[in-house]
Amino acid sequence: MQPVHLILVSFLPEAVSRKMPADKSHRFPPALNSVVARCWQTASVPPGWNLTREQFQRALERSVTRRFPDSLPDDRIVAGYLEGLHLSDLALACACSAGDSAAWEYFIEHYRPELYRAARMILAKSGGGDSKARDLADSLYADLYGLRESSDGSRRSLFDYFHGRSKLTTWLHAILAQRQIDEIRRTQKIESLDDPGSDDSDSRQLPETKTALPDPERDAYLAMMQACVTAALRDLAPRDRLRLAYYYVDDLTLAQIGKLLGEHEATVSRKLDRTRADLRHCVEVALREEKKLSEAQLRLCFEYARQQWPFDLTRALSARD
Amino acid sequence: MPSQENEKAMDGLLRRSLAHDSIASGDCPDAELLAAYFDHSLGADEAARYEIHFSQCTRCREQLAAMARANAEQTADAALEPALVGARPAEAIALGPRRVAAQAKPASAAPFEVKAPARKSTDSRWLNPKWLIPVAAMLVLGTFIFMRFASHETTIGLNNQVAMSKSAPPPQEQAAREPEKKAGDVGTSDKSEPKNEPSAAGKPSSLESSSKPDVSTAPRSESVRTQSKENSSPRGGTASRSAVGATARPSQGTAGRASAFQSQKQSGGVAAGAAVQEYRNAAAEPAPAAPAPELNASLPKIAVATDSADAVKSPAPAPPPSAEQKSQAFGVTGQSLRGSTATKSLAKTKPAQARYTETVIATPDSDVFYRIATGGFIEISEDGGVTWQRQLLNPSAEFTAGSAPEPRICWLVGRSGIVFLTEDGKNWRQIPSPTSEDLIAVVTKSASNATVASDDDRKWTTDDAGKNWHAVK
Repeated sequence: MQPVHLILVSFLPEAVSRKMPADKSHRFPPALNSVVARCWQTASVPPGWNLTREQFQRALERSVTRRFPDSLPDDRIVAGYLEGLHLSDLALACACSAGDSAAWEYFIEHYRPELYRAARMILAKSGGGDSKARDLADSLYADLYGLRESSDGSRRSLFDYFHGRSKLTTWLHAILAQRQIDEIRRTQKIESLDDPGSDDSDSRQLPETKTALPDPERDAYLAMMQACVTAALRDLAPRDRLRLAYYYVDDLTLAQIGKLLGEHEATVSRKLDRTRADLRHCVEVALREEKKLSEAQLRLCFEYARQQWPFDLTRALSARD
Repeated sequence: MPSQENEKAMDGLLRRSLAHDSIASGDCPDAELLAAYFDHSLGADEAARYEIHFSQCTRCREQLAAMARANAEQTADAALEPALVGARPAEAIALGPRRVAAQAKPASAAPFEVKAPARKSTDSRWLNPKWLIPVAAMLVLGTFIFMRFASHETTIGLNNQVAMSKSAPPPQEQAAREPEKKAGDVGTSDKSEPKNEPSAAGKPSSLESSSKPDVSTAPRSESVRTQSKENSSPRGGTASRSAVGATARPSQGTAGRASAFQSQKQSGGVAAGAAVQEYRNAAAEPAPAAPAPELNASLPKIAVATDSADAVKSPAPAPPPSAEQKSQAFGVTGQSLRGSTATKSLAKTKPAQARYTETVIATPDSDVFYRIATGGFIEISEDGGVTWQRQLLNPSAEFTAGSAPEPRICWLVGRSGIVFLTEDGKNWRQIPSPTSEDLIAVVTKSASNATVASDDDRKWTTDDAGKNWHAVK
């Protein structure tokens, strides 16, 4: 079977002549001409891509409009913004959006392997195989070519939504990730962590222990603990909470968390450890002082939580999700 | 109560609570903003705004996590990464197989026939960085050898300096040594780590450098701590994290409690606290590379290292935990844990600590700062932290906290209940103390009004510059 992107190449002339939506972006004042010239030079657009400086400037203007939608800010701010863009990636996106075949060849040659690789990694957690990864990556091409009509009948290449604020590779990763996560959430509204297969031994149900400790107040204790943890988490700084979630829920490595948060792995480790310790302390104190539990009851709470977590309670607490 | 068992329970609790306790928001950023956030291309304000969203939005967080996984593979393809993985860093061993799997997954696992680029020019073959592996290894080795000598000389130099001035080395000096530590961590930690006294500044963290080649070079005490924590780790994953956290805690208690105490008080110290907050935020992260010298010169150094002795013991210190880091989990920075009863009680059970960090005390005047130094010194800067003038208040004093309601008025508190006050920024006088216990925090409104807190969470206030103190509940 012919790869999807090769099939789509035959539609390139149509893609070139597609109906474009009205461009309502800001127009640069003449004072920014020198900045645009510098950007054009930095982008180093190969002549074979048939990308004109005017087209590139339109892309820059769209990017600025996207960042500053209300009005064009001071020239210095605009200049700083433009020079911080990934200009060569923007030029490639611009040329591909315009349907230039040389640019497309370049894109396919240089980005297709990365797209497949990224799709495979993104699907790895959900157990997707290579064929699914290929499907996910290939599903991008139709949108990148701009073959799908929007509701108003216009056709826009997905590249038109790239404004150079990130690397093109990262942007493609983001699109793949969005599609995959949305697909998962469509089919499985909340990814359950309660499945036996996805759970860790610490929190696995231990029926023998449960029968050995038939405490009628067990559920009450666990509910109290859950409430205290939830309250403590709610009071966490966003970054601390994000770090915890990446670690405990998304199973990212310290290096991956560090990359996301711009922190060194050791910093991530230290802060995770500290936040967890403080949360535990908060929970203990809250149970002692607010819930008036004795030390023995406190021990029981932690014992119960360690042995078996009541899934129905967490679901109840997630009702607002 | 068995702490390790509690930590296991907490891991389960946290995992479930974080997985389910999310607020779905309709204003999720588009792919480009996610990508820009991932690339750290957003401005600070934008990034902070979206971070709040991400912390509450499971969908966005999952997308970012997926991007991180995709990026990890990309990174693993880079030539230097296998070298790091092959080095079996201490973290990798401590984390166990689950967490290491993603990092150590060989790049050759890519299954597609398009794995290799379709065409490579002659130049691009040379640009392939794989040939850099042996070069990088030699550079690391050379740096390691150089650092062993350099750290030895630094130790001698510091010893001399301490002997002459009995003061800590200038913070700029320590900051300048931080990048050296990155390369020389392995070589210096094994001979300089205090054996019995964990030091937040000088700890040779097993996680500090993922390229550390041999776990056996870690100090014995660190290894023991790592082992002892392993059982309590979630999925075997926090063994080394716990070890790091344990070494960081000694100084955390004081700063944390002080911060928590300050956060409870909405008094005249608010403006000063905000300024400190700003500077602490700026200095929060131990950056992988040292800031530019001019930046070092223009910013007041915050919570740098500990005392002189520590600096001597640790010629190549790890990035010191800043005051913000120490207090972050206790409720000041980022409003972490603020306001809950549990937070207010945090101070109660933290043990007294032996050392205190240097602390910058901001004033309402953005150019005027006080800085607590070790050895009973206080330093004042009137040019925004560029230059500091040092004054010796009491050689035997160990100050722990301070507050400046006005640029020329500053209160200091310290161990054994010492309280000092200046009303002109130059002349200090010791104030009668309400207690002989260690004081760890002070909040002030004026030269006559102050509230101090002791190590055991008792508080006293005065309205007449310390002539009379009243206990506060």
